[in-house]
Amino acid sequence: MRKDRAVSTTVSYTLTLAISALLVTGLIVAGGDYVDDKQEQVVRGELTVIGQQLVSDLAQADRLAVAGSGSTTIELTQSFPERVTGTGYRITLDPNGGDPEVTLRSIDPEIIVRIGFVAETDIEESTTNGGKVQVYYDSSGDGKLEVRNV
Amino acid sequence: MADLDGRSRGQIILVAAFALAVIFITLALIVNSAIFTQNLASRGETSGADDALSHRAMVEASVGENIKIANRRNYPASPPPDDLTAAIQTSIETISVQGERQQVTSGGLTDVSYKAETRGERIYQENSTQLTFDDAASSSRYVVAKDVNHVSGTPDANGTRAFRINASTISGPFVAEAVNSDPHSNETWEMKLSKSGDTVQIETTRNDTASNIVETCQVTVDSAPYRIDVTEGTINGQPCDALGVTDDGEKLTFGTGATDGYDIYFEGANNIRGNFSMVVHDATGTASHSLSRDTALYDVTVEYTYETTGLYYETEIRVAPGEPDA
Repeated sequence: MRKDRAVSTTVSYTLTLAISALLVTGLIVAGGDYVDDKQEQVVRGELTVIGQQLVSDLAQADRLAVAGSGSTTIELTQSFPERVTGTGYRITLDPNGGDPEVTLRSIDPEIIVRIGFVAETDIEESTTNGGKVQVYYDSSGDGKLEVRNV
Repeated sequence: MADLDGRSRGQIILVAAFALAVIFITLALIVNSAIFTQNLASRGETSGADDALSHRAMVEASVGENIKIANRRNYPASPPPDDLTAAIQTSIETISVQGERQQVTSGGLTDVSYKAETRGERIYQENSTQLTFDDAASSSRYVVAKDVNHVSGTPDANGTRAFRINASTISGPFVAEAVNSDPHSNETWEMKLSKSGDTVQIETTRNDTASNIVETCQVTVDSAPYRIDVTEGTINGQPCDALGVTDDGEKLTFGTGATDGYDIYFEGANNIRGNFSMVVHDATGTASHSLSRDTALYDVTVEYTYETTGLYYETEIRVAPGEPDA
């Protein structure tokens, strides 16, 4: 029998445990960071695409409003996803003093995307959630383009 | 002493495996979102706004043609509603039904309905035995229409539309004027039409308070007839800047500068042989020479509705065929 048997086994076991724990923690942390980073990228990309689709709807509604005369009503509806990559988001239409833009803001992670556009019709400041979004115009109301949920 | 039993070895690796599994599932959700984003980005224009506008243009053109036909047919015209109104209402119903049938095959619902009309007067010379615009064969200046008013309530409206000349010969200058009041020196808008050889020339003068804006245009026309569309601004189909907007942005369309209550005069009408026609709004007629006058529709307003699953569009269309562009 060897007299140092018991000592080396305990030490080697403890060391193995410690080093494995360290490595595994490092792996999990790196993996988590990677997932967060990818999630941010995808959320940003999806909000940009949704924003551009909405801006194209606003441009169409603007054309219809300019072509109209007398009493004009426009309701242009499109379905967007209600959540992006697991997080909800809000859409804001901002006249911005003649330089209108659409702002999309996700909740968690908080990412903000702004898309500017050009319109001849006046814009009303309005906010809506994702889902079914409608661009609305009524010449007998305030005569401005706005967004709302339906 | 540590328990080195084989069954509980590798617990840390098990925990690590669970954690990695959760990370992979989250990544799968993110990849799913990314794929959906790509699909969303490839969505085209689905609402039908393009179709709504192209159908609107078609309705405007169709109603315009029907106004021309109703005016030419010269239905008996007592105060509306009468045969003239009934005729245009029937034709609008037909346009609506045919448009509906056409659009429903591509998923759109449309409706066109008559809303209102503005009456005017069609002044014309279509007598083939009368050789010139002026049967007295003199060059005197005479009034064609008095106190023509712009259509109220519409910013782009004019008081005269569809002024067309179809001449077989032009032997000297012919002048058409839109003035606010006599005498001659108070011209507000004047067009001088002349021909030398193959070239038809139009010189337009617009008197804006103190200054005069003059513009000329020339078009080569090989042979008669010489078709001048004064309100549209063309000579035998060729555009004429002197009857439209100049390069400097000055508007010289018919009657520009003339405020409400202008008179239309012809001068030198013996120099031109052929026919002409115009529709004026709210003029007090002056029976002059052998010009014919009929009650006519000046403009018609219709209500237009276009609906698809993603779009509801309702608006009014004012149709006044041949009115100078704003």
